[in-house]
Amino acid sequence: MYGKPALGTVLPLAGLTAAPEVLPGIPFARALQEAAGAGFLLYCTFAVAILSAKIWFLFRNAGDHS
Amino acid sequence: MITEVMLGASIALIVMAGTYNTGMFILSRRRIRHPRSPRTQRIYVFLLACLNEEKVLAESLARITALPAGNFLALVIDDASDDRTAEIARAADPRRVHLLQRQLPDARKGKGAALNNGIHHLRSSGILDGYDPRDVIVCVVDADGRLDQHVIQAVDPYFDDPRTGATQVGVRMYNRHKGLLARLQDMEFVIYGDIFQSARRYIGSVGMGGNGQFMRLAALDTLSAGHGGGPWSDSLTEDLDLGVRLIARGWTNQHCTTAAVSQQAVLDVKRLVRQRSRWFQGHLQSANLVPMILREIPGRAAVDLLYHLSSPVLILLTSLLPLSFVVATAGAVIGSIEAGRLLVSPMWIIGPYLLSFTAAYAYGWVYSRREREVGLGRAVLLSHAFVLYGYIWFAAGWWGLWRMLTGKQTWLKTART
Repeated sequence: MYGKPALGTVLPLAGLTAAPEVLPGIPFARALQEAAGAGFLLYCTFAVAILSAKIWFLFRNAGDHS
Repeated sequence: MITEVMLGASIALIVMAGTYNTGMFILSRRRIRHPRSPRTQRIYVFLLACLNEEKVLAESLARITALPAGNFLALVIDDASDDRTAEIARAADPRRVHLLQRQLPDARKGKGAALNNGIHHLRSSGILDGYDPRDVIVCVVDADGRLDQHVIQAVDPYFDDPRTGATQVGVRMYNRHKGLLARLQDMEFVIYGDIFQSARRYIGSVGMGGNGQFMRLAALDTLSAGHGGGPWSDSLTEDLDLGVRLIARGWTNQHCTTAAVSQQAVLDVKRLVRQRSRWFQGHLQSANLVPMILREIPGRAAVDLLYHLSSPVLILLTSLLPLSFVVATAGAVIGSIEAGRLLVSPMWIIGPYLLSFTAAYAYGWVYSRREREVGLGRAVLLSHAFVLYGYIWFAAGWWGLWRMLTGKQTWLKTART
């Protein structure tokens, strides 16, 4: 997808966790970042399941060809 | 503890995307060699699916009929236009340009349906009688597409390899001089082609782009086999869908960096977001390709395609992060004003800048090599704007998701100017 280069451009958010003092809005900002993190954990769970299925297909196809 | 894990996961998301982009950049810099093999005389057929394209069609046909190659023709598929589209096609060189007029209620069922009708017409009209489908190359061109004059000479060697099913050429914006938005779209397509598509040649996962997309007729036949409906699906991103299915059928997709098709950039932000929303929704629909990828596509290409197909999810997730950044920055400013002193170190800005805009230097370098009239310095400046321009996808993504969840499938096509 053409938006792919944009994915690598939001790295500054990593710096938010290191904000040195409690500032107005930080709880909401952290909640947004946590939501993104939770979503990514879910994504990883699906990715592991899908890649496991792929590995299963690879072994099955290898068995069919032997 | 849970909070720390989720914050860490959000950072991992960014690191993963950055690592992937860096890997693709490195891979794209490798040179690829094509083995020489005996040349074959082929016929090229340009398919133009047109719905009310009177503003741009004449110029596109003029460029096609002026191609220096010998054996080619164009088929204009008029999808029940209300304007002078059919008249313009009839006025073009009749030895080169054929017209197929679709009629309502069968017309206006999407680009895929029109292209399928075009393939059916090529067969039933006898135009291709006597040609081996392996030597017939079908090229989809948008009505506003302006092909480089050497495009056939550039693409033809890729089809010397009998495994090549399709070859996508680069895409440029011919009106890229008309303001920053047009320039950034040009940069977007150059970077996508010269970095991501080029890298995917080594992975075996090159995608099709719907404009400047050359396909061997024999390869298209393998997609039609069994259901007779034609090679294209009714997906909003029928090009993405077709490219994946070709790979699944065992064909190799190529990306040609030495020729391009130029199209019209959208000059209005709202229309651009709408266009990208349509692409995004189509990308979401393409999730139904996952079972086919798992079953039929080899490992490395499959993993890349799965990542590619899942990128809408990643875009939606990462869209929360800039929002978080804006909120935090606003909080820092307000807090500092209230406290009467700076509550965050100015050094805090350096990290975010480096992390955000380092990629801009690589993108600027790539773009300056493709667009020589823009020097390296200006290209790097432009690519800073390009990084921010990428955020358009966040708005487009949520809009596309909303339309999908509410069951809206119909889209007005992007208007020409």
